[in-house]
Amino acid sequence: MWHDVRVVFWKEWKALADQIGGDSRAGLAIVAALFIGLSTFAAFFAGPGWVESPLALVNYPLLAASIAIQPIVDSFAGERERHTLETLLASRLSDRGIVVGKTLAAVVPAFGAGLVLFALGVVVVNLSPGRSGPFVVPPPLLLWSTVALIGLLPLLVAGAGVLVSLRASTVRRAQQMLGFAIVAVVLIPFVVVMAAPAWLREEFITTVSSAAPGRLVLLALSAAVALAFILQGIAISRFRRGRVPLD
Amino acid sequence: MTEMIRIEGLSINFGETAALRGLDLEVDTGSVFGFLGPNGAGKTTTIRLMLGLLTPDAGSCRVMGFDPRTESHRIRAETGALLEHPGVYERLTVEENLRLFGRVNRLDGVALDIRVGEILDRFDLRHRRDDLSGRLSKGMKQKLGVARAILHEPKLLVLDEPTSGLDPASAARLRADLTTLAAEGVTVFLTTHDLDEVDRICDRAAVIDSGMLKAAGSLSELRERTGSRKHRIRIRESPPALEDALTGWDPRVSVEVTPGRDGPVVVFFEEGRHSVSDLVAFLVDRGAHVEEVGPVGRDLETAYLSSISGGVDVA
Repeated sequence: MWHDVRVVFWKEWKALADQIGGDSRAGLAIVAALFIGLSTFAAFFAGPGWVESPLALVNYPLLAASIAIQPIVDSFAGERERHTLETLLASRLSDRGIVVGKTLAAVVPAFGAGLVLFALGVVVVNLSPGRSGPFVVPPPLLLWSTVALIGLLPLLVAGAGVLVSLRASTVRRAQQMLGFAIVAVVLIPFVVVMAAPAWLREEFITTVSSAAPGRLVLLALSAAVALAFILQGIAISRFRRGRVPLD
Repeated sequence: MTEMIRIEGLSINFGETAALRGLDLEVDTGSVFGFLGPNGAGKTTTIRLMLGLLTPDAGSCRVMGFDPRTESHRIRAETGALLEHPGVYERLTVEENLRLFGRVNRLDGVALDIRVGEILDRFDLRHRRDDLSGRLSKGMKQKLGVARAILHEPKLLVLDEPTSGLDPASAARLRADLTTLAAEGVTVFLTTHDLDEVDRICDRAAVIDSGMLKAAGSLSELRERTGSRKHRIRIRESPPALEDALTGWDPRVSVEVTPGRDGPVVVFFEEGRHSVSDLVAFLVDRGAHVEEVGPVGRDLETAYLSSISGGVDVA
């Protein structure tokens, strides 16, 4: 299987590299500038709290996950649109090799970009107005949890993205479906908390605010690990050649 | 000769639509097999079932002795496929496309370099090796698709309209290549609308329509069994006003005088209301000297058209 993973990964990377160096260079440069600009701008004005508070746990993993969205929705829906999916499926590549290769090709660049943005954020907060004193770095638990989440959140999005992309007829449709899914996942807990009886809501807020930050971080991390691997498992088990819709 | 493909009673439905209805097919190893049928007849569905890209509702299929439902990976490992679309990766160069599929098929290092070089030369693609595939013409993409399909020297080559979009010279070269591959033991299963192509390179063919097999056999069998009931009668000396008399007798008679005024007369006649012996008796009564009576040489197009218009004749 790992040979197949490497081959698929190589193919996706070659295509991405060509995009970066080819016709899409200008568009990608604008997107990259937007990501870098927004994250450094926010870090510069927020100061050390940007990387020392649990905000880092949310900001950088979310940025990394958003980078993984485009390649993952393109993974199957894009191949279907470009009429290469059937050729890929008719080859000797294994089902798992295809899914894992495509997932890694979306997650690895997102993870790399997320780490670069995080490191840049740490540098920038140290240059923020009125800053003095020693170089600020996130506490170890926060640092490593953020790094882990920068990898896990794109993996989670990739699992959902593969499931969506497998069924969607076009990339645009896949983007819409994944967008709805992400909004639903973000909104549902919020709606559930707001819809809960007042006493339950107050109890929940009290519990969360009084909990040790380390505990919350570990809870978030465990949830992300569980969800990411569950979704990956579903994506791998759902991908069967005989069941993939073709043209 | 051993069987490369054996299909028995294969059926599949897409919702309410029956795409294949009890298809039976046999393809011998090392043969070039033409799979004919109008658009939507079930040709592509058959190919997808053979490669395990679809699961049948009923019937069985064996390719190289393997069942596509459970052993499709073994089939795909020994098969080269050019499907409905060339399936080339447009963001990769010509050479990168070939290398990709070489790696997919476990070729690497020097073996891959050598094989890619051979294929670039064989398909006259060397001068375009560094071009992005997206910038190739439709015909060149098709050529690259075929090149990719044979790169790993498969035992079975499945080609869905391989010469579509190719210029005549490239198409002729590809046909020659397919014949060579078949001589080397590769089985070629090709779908096409080009009956002339089938006539030139195929050993056997089958005609499918509305998901059902309409005819199958060697090309001569198809011509004979599904051809029309036309006869050709050669007359040495033609009595005066023969043509008028004949068309008055049966409007399905046509007369052709060749090569000159005093040359032989050829009468074409399709049996129906009258039999061919009725016609011969008619001609002899009017003083014609009948030299030869025989069936008209049936062409594949007639055989194909008569197959898809309702006839069922399986050799």
